[in-house]
Amino acid sequence: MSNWLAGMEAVLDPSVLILTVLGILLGVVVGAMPGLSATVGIAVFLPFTFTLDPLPGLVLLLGIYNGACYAGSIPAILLRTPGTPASAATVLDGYPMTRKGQAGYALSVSLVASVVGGILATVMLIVSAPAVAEVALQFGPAEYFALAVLALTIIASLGEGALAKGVISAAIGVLIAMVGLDGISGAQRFTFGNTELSGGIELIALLVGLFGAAEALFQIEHMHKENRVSTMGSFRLKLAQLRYMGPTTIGSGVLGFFIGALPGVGGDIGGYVAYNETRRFARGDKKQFGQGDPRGVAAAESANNSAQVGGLVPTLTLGIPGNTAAAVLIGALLVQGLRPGPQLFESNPDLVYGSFIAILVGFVVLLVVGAVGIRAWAQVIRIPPALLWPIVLILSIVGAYAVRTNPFDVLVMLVAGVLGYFMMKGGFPIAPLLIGVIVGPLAEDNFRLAMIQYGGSYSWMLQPLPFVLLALGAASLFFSLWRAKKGRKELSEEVENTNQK
Amino acid sequence: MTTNLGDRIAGVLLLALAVFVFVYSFTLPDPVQELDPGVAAFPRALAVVIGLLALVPLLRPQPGEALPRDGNAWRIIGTVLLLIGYALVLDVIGFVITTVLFILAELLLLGIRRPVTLIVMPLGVGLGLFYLFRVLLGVALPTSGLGGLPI
Repeated sequence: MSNWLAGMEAVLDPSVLILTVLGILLGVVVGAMPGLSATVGIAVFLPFTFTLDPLPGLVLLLGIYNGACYAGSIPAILLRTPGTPASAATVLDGYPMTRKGQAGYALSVSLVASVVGGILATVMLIVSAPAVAEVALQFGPAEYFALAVLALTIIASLGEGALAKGVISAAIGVLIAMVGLDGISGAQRFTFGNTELSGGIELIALLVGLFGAAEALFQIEHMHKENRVSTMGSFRLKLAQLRYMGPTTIGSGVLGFFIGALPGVGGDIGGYVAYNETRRFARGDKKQFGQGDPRGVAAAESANNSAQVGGLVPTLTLGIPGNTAAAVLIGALLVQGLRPGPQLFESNPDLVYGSFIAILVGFVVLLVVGAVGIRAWAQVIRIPPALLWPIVLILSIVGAYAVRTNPFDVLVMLVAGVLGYFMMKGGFPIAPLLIGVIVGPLAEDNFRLAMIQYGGSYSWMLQPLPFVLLALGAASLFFSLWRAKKGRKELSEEVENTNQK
Repeated sequence: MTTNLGDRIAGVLLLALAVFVFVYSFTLPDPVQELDPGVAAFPRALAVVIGLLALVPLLRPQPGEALPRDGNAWRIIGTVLLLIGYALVLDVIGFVITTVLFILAELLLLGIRRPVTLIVMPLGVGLGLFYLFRVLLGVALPTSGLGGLPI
């Protein structure tokens, strides 16, 4: 209980409350801009938190984290372009609603579902995270190695793009993290006598380059014309409409949380899974799905926001990123000298419980600002990209430079930006690389510690929990292979069918 | 337009990286502790993984997105060159001047020609961010010190 009091006291600080609101506002703008995902937004706004105290900085970024996840639905509904990957499933019914002249209805459904899903998930986070942290205190090297491997295999196999490219991307991330001093023996690796490299690659510079600068380069190439907003229709939700979307919203919210709590699985997958399950279990007319059924929007939006919050469970309790945006949050905490993990719950209860309360407050704020400004937010998508992306580039430079006032880090950021750009062009997903950089050292150090602890035998891999986690990791790789094979088969059948015609 | 040349190039580069890491791992010191698999074990394993998987894009290339051409290509190359220039002069002429010049050049590169935008945006971003970061937040940003100016 005293932890909650400490958290409450910390949140009641005016600067924390102001930054909670500001974070949500920024998040909505970030999410509503196509190309600016929660990950990019948090990366770009990192330098604003360098000099803040940990909690105010964290609540600002958490506001962006959750606000952007909601607002990604705005361009998904209005333009058929998800503002963030998490809203990809929202397009399926959201855009057809816009074409029927129900854009306002769809936007309101999205807002209510996002807030309900988010609050449900936050309650589940509050209940489960301290318990998970308690259990995680008992974890040794074997468990942490298995968790790190699970996170890597899931992100490499469930993300977009081909499995081989995902695994390569993750492996390169692990390699990048090796530059510098070895954590166990103190030996230098991949430094080639360069003093800048012996300190390791600065994580912030790397992720700002991969997500800020690379995205800016990609968007500058694909710059499109100004977006036009079509007719909105009514924004008002009637009681019958709320009742119609209610069960879906709650069910998807619960489901999304568990999906998001898997390491490396984000709101995009949460949204798709919930959408499919909703369609499968829907009562009444199923043909409406894909034609503009508000239940489809509610399912996708409730689940992606709850998956986003669920992603905080492994992030905070284990230090294993729940999704890409959460990986950037880990970077932000590391800058503050804080390492997420079970110890954080004991050493910084005000921070942990304060951020839980701030997330809840944030969703209430989101409901208010979302409802009040719903017409204005829809205009954000009209900000000309030519004005936006130069600013993103500048903020990327500031983030890289200011983290330790080192011009070398700007160079790292630039190289990472160009690398990220070519990866996007070549279909190599970037997310596994970032997860690799963060969990790579966890995997390596704990593997070696486990080998030492068990006298050079691999028997620790057969311990119950590590075995189950490693088996899950292998299963996700096989699932991905199976899915790819099935996809190819369907594709060739389709080609055959069209040829016969 | 799509091409599968990108996958082939990526495959070759990745294979080269794998070979390099594999060879390099043999120059790393032996473990201090007897049971420690050592600092070379993981790099070597990763080199094998990357090397084997590099064969997938190399031998079964998928069509990817083509590199930009003409105007699009120049926008990208120009932006990267401007960023390099930014990094080189940042510590010399300070954040505000560098940023104003960068935004101005970038806006011109992206085809913005409205005089108002070209004046307001660079000055607004340069001075605005400097004030926000350096004055309000106390984040260290370099100043030029030219003529004793505080920017």
